[in-house]
Amino acid sequence: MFSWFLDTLDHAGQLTLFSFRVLRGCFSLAGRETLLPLCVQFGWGSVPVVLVTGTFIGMVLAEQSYAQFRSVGLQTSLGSIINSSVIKELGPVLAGVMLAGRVGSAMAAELATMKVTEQIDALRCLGVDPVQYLGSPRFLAAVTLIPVLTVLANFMGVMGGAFICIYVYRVESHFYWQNSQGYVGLFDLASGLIKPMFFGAAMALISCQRGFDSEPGAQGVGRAATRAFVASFVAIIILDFFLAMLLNNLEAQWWPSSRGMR
Amino acid sequence: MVAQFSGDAMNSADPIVSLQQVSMQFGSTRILHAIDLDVPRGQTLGIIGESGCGKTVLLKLIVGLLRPSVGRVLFDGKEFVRLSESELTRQRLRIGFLFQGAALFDSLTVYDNVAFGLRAQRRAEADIAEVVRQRLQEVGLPWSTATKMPAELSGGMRKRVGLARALALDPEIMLYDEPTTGLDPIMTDVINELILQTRQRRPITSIIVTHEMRTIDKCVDRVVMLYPLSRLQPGQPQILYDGSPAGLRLAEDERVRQFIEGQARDRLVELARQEEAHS
Repeated sequence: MFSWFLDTLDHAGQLTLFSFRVLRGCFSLAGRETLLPLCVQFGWGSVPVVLVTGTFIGMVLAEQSYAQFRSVGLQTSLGSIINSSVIKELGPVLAGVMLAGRVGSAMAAELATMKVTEQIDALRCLGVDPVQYLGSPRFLAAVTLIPVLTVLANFMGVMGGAFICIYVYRVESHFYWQNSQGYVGLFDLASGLIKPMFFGAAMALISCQRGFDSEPGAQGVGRAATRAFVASFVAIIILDFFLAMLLNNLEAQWWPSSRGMR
Repeated sequence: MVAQFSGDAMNSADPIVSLQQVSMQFGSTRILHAIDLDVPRGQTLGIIGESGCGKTVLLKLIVGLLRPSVGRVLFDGKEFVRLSESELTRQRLRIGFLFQGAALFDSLTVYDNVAFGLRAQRRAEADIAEVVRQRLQEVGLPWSTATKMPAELSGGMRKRVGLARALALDPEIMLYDEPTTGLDPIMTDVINELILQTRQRRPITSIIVTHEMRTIDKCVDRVVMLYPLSRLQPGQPQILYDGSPAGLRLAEDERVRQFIEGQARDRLVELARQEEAHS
């Protein structure tokens, strides 16, 4: 138990130091020539999976809540619950988890392979800091692209939910949209875009660090990829909780009236 | 021919690489113990020894990729662990490293690989093109390979691209980590020729880690043989031999002759016994 605690502390310390180095590299734009290809690889490649999962999340929410809302005669309010859940929680988390699964583990595996084949050492010998050269562009790509993916996931989720409610369960569309509007404000939209940036940052830092820290051999590479995903996923969920708490408090303090409107 | 650049430099009291009482261990595994080694400027040093005796670790200590557990590693009088980040980078560029598997960046073309270190130094693209062309020619690769990806190359070609990449920055010292391992006899000799050529063209110091006796006979001025720590009695020195390649075959130490003649003798029995003791 005690050694587990020490290990965790050790990991946290290493991750912190690693993060500082990556952030410093962001300011000096280390590895900037690799930024664009990485953005294409991370962003464009993730579009299909985000579109599909976003749509289905919206649809399944509609499917699951319809019966309950119907039983109390509130089916026109479905839009409010579906859209605010998607925009505040599901879209951002979904984009984060998809990116962690699709990009984070691949990133960890790639860096781990580079370490095993001595490419990281070679970078160092050629006068380049590998943490900055490889880590910083990946960090920047993840942080800038994840809000875009979130918007996509949000849009598809909203559309998916609306499709099921309006076309399958025949909810009156005018009231469906009107109720949605009242419940999703600008602050919700903004917080739904700020949160994923933290998810992207955590995912990129954790995955890169796992890659750099990998043990030798094929097994080490595999383990780095798995650990990168698991650790990113846990970090995203925990961050989500604390960010939600923080942002809700901020909203209550800055716009006390916005809650009353509902 | 071999002693071309080593004449005066040999006597120099100012070695380019100096290891002082260096020990290295990973976890509880001890790899190197109390190694003292000076490499004079211009010398070509071969380091031999069986797998696991710490040859590669020694190279990585010299270039500062690893930090010694105990002792000091000096490059041109400077201790890498005490340098600032930017100074460390500047010093490291004076050292060329040919990795065992060549360690080419597999997302970049051959051209971009060779140009990599120069680009990191912000050199003009026109200069870079000229240096890349020269270096590829020097290692005997046609210009058409420049656009190839590392995955398309054979083992020998990868090694040569790795050498071209290391030489692009005009290092003062070249470290070769098993440059001929895994190559056929012809390609082995091509690499040996390249090592010789490299030092004929410039006053370079070379350290070659190898198992290949032909490389030792052909390329080096001095040989150091390391022995695995696990097979030594406490107090015995880890460096079994330090001298000319010619003297290697006359060495009195049984273990040295056994290595260069490649005789297992009773090693198989011994290994099996060790395994038993472990399990």
